[in-house]
Amino acid sequence: MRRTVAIAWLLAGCEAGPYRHEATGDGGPDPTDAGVIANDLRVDTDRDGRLTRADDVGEETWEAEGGAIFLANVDDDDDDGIADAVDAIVNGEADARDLAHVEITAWPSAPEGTTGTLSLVTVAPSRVRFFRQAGATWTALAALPALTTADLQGGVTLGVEGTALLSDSLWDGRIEIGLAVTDAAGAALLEETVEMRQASMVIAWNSAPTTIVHVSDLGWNADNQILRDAVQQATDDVGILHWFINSGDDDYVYVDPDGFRIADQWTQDFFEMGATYMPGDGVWQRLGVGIRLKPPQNSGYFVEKEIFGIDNGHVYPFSDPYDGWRDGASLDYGGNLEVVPPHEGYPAGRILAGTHGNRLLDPVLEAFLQAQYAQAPILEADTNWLVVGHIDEAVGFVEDPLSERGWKATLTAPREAWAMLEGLVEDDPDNADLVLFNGLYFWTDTGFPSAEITVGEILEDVDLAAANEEAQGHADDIKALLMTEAGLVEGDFVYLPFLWEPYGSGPSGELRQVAYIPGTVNLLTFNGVAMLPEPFGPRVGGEDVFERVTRDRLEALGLDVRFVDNWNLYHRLLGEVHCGTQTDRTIPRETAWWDSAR
Amino acid sequence: MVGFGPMIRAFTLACVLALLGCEAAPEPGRHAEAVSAAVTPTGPAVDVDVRSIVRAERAAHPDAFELFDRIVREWLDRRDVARNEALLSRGLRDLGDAGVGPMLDAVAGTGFAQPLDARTQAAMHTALVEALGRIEDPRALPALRAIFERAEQQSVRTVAARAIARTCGDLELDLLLAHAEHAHPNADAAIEGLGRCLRLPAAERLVALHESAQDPARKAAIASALRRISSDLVWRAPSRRNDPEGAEIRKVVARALGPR
Repeated sequence: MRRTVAIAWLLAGCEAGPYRHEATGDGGPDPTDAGVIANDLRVDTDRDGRLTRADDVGEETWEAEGGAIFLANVDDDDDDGIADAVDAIVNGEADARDLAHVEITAWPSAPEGTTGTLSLVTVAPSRVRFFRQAGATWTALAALPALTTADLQGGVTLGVEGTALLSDSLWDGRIEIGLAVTDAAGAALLEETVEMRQASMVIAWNSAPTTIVHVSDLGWNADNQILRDAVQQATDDVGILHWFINSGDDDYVYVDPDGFRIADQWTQDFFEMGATYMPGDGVWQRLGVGIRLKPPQNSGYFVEKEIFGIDNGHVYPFSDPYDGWRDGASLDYGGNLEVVPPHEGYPAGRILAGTHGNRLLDPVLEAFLQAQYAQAPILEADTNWLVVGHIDEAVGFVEDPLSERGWKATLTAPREAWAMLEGLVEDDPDNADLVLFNGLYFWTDTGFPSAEITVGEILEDVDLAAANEEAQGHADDIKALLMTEAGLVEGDFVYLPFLWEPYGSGPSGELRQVAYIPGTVNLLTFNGVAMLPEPFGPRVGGEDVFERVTRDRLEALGLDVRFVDNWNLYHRLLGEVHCGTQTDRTIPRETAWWDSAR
Repeated sequence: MVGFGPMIRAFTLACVLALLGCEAAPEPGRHAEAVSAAVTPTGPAVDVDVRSIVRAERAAHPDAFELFDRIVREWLDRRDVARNEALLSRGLRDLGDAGVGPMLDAVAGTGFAQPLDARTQAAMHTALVEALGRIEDPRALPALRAIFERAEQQSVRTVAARAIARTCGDLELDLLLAHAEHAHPNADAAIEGLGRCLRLPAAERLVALHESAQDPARKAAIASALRRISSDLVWRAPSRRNDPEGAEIRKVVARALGPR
């Protein structure tokens, strides 16, 4: 039984006289009270970063309202290339800050012969490690120590760390620590338990404050330069960092199955940033987590090489061996790992990923994500209709500071896009000759047939018409899912019109779709900026009709809307701005992820 | 590794089929006789057709062959499980009519000799068939019909069914109808094709199949095809808006799927 109630022992005939030890209320033993057994097993139950008497309230059971938290100590504070949790050494002050404290408060008047026993109850004892503090020194414990009278008189402070991130359903991170104090005759004086839980990793949502924007740096590529310049300008404007990843670095270029080494522009796909948080006194203790994705490629090795270090860990949660060519492999990319921002029941948001039928996430990755209880269970949307299969192709999330919710969902609107083209021709039959993708090519930029197409030609393409009607059905399904599961209402959606194009790329030749007009839902947003792919739609009065509608809708939310030409390196290769960028964000201070504990 | 070059040296449609993993014997069906003639190695008509198309196209559009090679090589250099044959299909489609020569050359195994692993080769076949279908050049139809009927891979047959349905002349319609019977191993692909063939007989056959279908999955697939063929959106294309056959198709489908 997990829940053990601490017991107040009335010591009849005890020399010290009657005493009171309450596990509830605002009390707890006060060492200045004569006759009270002052030893108290104390952890940060109330999550204020301090160990006080108030922490006794509800200490036996970890739940949303209270319960102490400890971190998986997966960073590398001494920068030796080895995660701190791998060794049994506290590597300096920074490492010590990653330990959650467990205190046995001092009982200066404890009679000689009084001893204590600490116990640990967990299904995964190997996944936690305890240290004992002596001055500035922390010493790893092979087992929880027996406590001498001197220990009980002077008090003991332990530190606890998790040795790895939560990763499966075998352990939900809970541990129960017990303290039993007995007198010289072996009579029980005190039994007390506290429950702690290892922090869930949390992936910040797109409307959360951003600290860094990452873009792969394909230095020689002018089209990559366009995106980097746009990101540099925008991050400078809002005063945050950008990190251009040297994708020419031999260590983490994309290496295909035949050994081709390719600079990888799909920054969103090869890693994702998460973090674990533990309450501290005035400031949370945060450990970033670089999640290496897109196996078995080397691109994501970036997180191990560049991000892993002081206050940042890394993880690579995939099957070994991994089949990189199975139909679902594409789903194991970062573009398919999004978070529905905070909503009812999910104060730290909920993981959103695309799956369907036999096209599934790698089981190890899925178990890893499901273990992150703050944002689990994964909300699964059907993305089998997409060639690439990533949820970020069809839906996204942006800030909406003026709304009660604080964010809106951006959703693809193919039927509206088709109607817009029809409307152009109805307004003026000559508009059938308006050109989309002016001066652009679907295959390199010289010598090849143009991608240009007229409004009239599109409207005559019955396959394209049917495909977009089907795409609308899938968009409606995603909308219904978000309404049902996240409680969204009509007003929570912003519709972004663009067309889809079908290809027979399913395993049985079934049609899947990819954005034909650059997919504006696949946008990068941070700190009030929305950076979208330039749609290159038909222009009326000198203005791109798709750009105008999209800009109007996002500017109405107060966003600084910026369109970027991402045609050559991203759109024509089946991705957009979001696919080509990654962000490091922090969850807002008012968001206590543990409130969503499941 | 399976190479293009070593496998195929002759410009025959039989070779096209061999490359695509087609079966040696023609499938039974109303169209079997015509297809049988088409896939006989010594069948002069098709043999001459493919060879002559490629020869003529190489003379008329030598640049297209060069562009084709560049597209395929760039695609091979950018292989990514998430972004695969659709990328190639889009590039090849944009070659337009000039691409028919090099694409037929490639499916015959003579136009692109770089060895490819089986998975990559399958992806390339799918893209070639899809692009040929998108281009809607009648010169590619004999090859596409044969690929639909005989390709070993279900995925390629399905893509070929859609490819011939875009044109859906009498030969293509007959072929799809012949393969749409419930017991036919190619029925799923044929139903997919019929659902995109904007011809009244296609709708009528789908209605009949829908009524007789026992398997729920098959019945749902047929219903989906019927909805597609009768979609208002499809028939809203400016050139088809007043098409009397479209109106008739919608009536037939409405009677079949509407309230009884």
